[in-house]
Amino acid sequence: MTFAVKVTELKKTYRQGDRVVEALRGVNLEIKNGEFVAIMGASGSGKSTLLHLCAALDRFDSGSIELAGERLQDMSESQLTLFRRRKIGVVFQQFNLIPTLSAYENVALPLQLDGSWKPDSIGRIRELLAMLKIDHRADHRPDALSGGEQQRVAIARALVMEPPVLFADEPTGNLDSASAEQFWSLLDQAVEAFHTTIVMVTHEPTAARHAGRVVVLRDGQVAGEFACSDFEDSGALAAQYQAMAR
Amino acid sequence: MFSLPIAFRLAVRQWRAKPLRPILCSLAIAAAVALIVGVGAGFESLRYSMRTTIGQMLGVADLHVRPAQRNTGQRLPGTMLEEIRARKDVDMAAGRMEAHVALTSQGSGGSKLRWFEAVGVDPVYDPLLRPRMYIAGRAVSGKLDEIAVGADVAEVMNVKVGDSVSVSGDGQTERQAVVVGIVKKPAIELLSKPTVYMPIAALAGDLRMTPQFNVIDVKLSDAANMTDYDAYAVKMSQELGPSVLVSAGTNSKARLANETRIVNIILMLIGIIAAICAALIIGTTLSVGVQERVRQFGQLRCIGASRSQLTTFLLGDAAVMLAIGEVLGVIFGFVFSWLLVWHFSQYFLKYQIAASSVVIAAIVGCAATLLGAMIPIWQVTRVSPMAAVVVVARTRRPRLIWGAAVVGLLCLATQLLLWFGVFSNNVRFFLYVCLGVPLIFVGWTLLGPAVLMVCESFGSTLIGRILAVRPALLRHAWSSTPWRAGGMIAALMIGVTLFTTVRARGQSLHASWVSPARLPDLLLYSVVDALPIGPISSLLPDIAVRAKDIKARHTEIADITPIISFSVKIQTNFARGGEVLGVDGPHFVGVDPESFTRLVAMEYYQPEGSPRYDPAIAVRQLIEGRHIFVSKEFYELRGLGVGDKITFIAANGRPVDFTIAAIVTSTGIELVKNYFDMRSIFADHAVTAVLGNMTDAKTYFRARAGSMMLVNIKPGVSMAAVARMRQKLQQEGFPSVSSFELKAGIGKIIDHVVDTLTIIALGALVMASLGVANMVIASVHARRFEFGVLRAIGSGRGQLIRLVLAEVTLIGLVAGALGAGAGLYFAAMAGAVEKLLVGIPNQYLASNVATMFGLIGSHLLIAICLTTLLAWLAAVVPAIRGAFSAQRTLLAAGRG
Repeated sequence: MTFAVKVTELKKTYRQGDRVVEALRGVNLEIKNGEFVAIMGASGSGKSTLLHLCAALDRFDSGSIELAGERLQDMSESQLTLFRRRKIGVVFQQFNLIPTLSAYENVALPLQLDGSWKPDSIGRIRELLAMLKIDHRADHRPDALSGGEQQRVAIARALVMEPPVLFADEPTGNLDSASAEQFWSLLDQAVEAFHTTIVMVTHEPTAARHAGRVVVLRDGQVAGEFACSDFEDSGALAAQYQAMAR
Repeated sequence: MFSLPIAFRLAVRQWRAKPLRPILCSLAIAAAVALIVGVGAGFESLRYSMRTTIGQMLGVADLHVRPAQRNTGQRLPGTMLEEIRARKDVDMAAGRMEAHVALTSQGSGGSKLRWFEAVGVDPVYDPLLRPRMYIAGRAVSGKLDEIAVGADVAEVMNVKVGDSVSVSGDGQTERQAVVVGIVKKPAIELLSKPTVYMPIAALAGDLRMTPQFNVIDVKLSDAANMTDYDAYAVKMSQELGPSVLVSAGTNSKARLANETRIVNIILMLIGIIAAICAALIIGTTLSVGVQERVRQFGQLRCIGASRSQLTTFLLGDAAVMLAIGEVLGVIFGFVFSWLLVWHFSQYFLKYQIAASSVVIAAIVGCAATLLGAMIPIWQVTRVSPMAAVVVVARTRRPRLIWGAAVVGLLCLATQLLLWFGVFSNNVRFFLYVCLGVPLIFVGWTLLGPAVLMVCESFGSTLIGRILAVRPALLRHAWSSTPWRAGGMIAALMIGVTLFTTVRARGQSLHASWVSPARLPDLLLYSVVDALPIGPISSLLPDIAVRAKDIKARHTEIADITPIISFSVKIQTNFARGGEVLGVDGPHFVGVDPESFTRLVAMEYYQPEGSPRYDPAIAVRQLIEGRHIFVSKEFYELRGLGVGDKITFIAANGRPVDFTIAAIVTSTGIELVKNYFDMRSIFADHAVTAVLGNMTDAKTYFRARAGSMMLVNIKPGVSMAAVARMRQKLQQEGFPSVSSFELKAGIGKIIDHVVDTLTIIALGALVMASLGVANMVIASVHARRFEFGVLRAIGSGRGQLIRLVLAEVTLIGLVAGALGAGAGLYFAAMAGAVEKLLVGIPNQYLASNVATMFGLIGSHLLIAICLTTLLAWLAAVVPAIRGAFSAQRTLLAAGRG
């Protein structure tokens, strides 16, 4: 069986002043194609580090990450760059849009960086923006958009290259509840359209409820996992998570 | 893969979002380009003016043909001119006949008869080969009754254009001539001779002889493509026979080419300095931009931007700044140079600009941008995608700073090695200019961060107290970004270095030229004393005694030295180096070595390839006797050098050997030779004159009476007092000529040149202050949160402004101190390079140690005050903007 993401014995340490921090201590994780997995854990559990390593934003010390059938540890810096560009979409809590470009230009940027800009690209971007309900704000710069609008632009940018895997780091952390709800519903639509695997890091049970499965990290290791469908509401899910994370 | 359109789009958007800093950076590029365009145009205009003026004064002949025996009244036959004109390499040739004629004019005070030097000229070719400046009228045409007179002749004879004068070659037979032109008098009173000009046929008629020539001026055709005029002169001399001497003209193409080369080297040096200065500013600005946008670059890396694409984005930023800077720079440069030429219109005949200057400026702008962008490019390629999500802490690495300081010291040591360790002058010059000079800048620049750290540790308390800022806040003001601060210090330092070098060299040159040692203030001469050795002069008291007497009677005189000049015969008519030293031999110039060397700065020429001699030993040998000094021209034309002997015939008829102890020249004489039409006269004298001891002159040649004395006036004596003294001396039988006016003129020219160069240095400083402003803006921007916190805990706006000013004071102090140090060092080395180039030593700052330290102190103080003031000016606006920002905005910056 092929996995969208397969992490084996992943280890990562980093220095914090004179201190050596073991962020990940042998993480094993398998995520199937089309799956939506939420990674949860307390602060310092290593969930964000795991996401950064899986999204090829950082290098790991040992272990293995297979993404869309390709092993990240075997790739050179330039291969990783291409891989990030074509196979991975990332949505951040801080949106991370280029402040000097308009919403449209932000979404178009990956295509231009890739050199895969085609005459029909304009139409495709417009469609994507329309699907995420921000086409009317396409010519505005990020500072003129609300948090929810910025996050939707970020999703559009992450999906424009139609990557097989989308990583999201606390995507609704900076949004109010109404914007967050709108975000989830639009994300669902987009993912359905692109058949994308989603790996999301969150500490909010309400956000995690949108995933199919929750993986809980504790002290740099997988503490356990559970299916979201087993819980009727966020409270029950939160209780299960608390029990595993403790 | 490059995505230039995105790069430009990002750059333009960045400009629109934060325009101030890119504008400042563009202005820095513009200043560098303007500096080069301006200086290039200035040089081009000056070169044009000099070429034209020198051409007018010296003529444009490539070669001069003269009789080999010049003290015998021999002239070249008329056929010689035809023979020379027939040579295939010759473009044009004109003969010149020199004699004396008497002029008589009828004025209001009755008729005046005076003898003047007369020059018979070729009416067609002479104006082309020796163009003269006319106060009124024109040159003589072929008409025999036309005459042009020097301005001094016109003054003495009280004639103007159109007046009629009587001309006589023998003082008896007269003819009438009309004055058609008045020639501008040479600016040097010391050596100007009242001269009249007429067609050569007219002069020959007055002298009742066929036209003959004292000199034939020759201009070679362009097709001859001559490069070595001296070699050609020797060859032509041999071909024309032993009775003829051919010498290369002073204004030869080779000389002009050499002059052009030197100007280009200066332009190149200024270009390098401007480029370094601009590169530092561009580098710092872009580096600040990278640090500020590191998150944005991280975001781009997250979405798949490669390192080369980030490089392109940064180059896009730089390219936009460069394009604007280049356009502005060329416009500023034109305006700057035009204003310069307009302001100093007395030295510039017209505004000239060479396309090469603009091209060099454009290249320098590009080079500076690329150079400045190199470190930021390296920084941007190291940005990790993680920069988009986490703040990467940057730790200070003091070991690296101290390492850089050691490398800086090594650079300074290496450039010294390049100077003292290379023995070939040519190799040394080019190695030093191309490698040594940049090493000096690199060395001092690398010292900057370390000195800043030391100053920050020890100076923050003092500066904090002065500006009422807590020293603890200052202690880490710059050491967290030492390289960026070091870059700013380096940029300011270069401006200060230029400023200090220019002022120190200017001061030194001024003192050196205007000091009496360059050129004595007065030259006294006596007609009676100049008579041949015989009964009259033998009745006169000893010249040394008379000199002492004159000094005792005239309190204005600081120093005096007597000179005896007379012809001596030599035993053998020997030839060497293709030239013949005539039997009538040289003029023996007897001097009192001690007082003479005190009054006249002798420059000792050490010919390349010959063993070096010690000037101190040479002076001792001159004092001891039986030794002589010869001129550089004597050495070059006669081929006799140090250690060679000349046998003179003494007064008792016996031979006596004299050994050449030194080859000398004098800057004063060089100046006179080069700038005024006196070269041929000087060459004639110099090749036939030797400098000997006065005791030898008396012992061996029985010379007692002197023909002249050199006098230096006490400092502070007014021109009016000098004029009165000169009048008295004239009444005593010692007419005099003065170099006071000449020195004043030279001093004025030096002052103007120094002022112009100071403007350039100030331009570099202003350019650097743009960089400081840039950095302070970045610093204030980066510390908005810190400012917000300080405001929240009760700091006033004034305190924040004082904090920023205190920080830039540190930068100003360090830059000023380092810049002054580098500048004084440069001034010393510039003197050494100048000596290497022209072979003439120049006094550096002052010989007196106390005065020298005083000057160093004053340069240091000026430099520190200047840099601190500029740093304050650059910082005050950003500081006020930062301090007056809303507290909420300042604190919001902390949320990223």
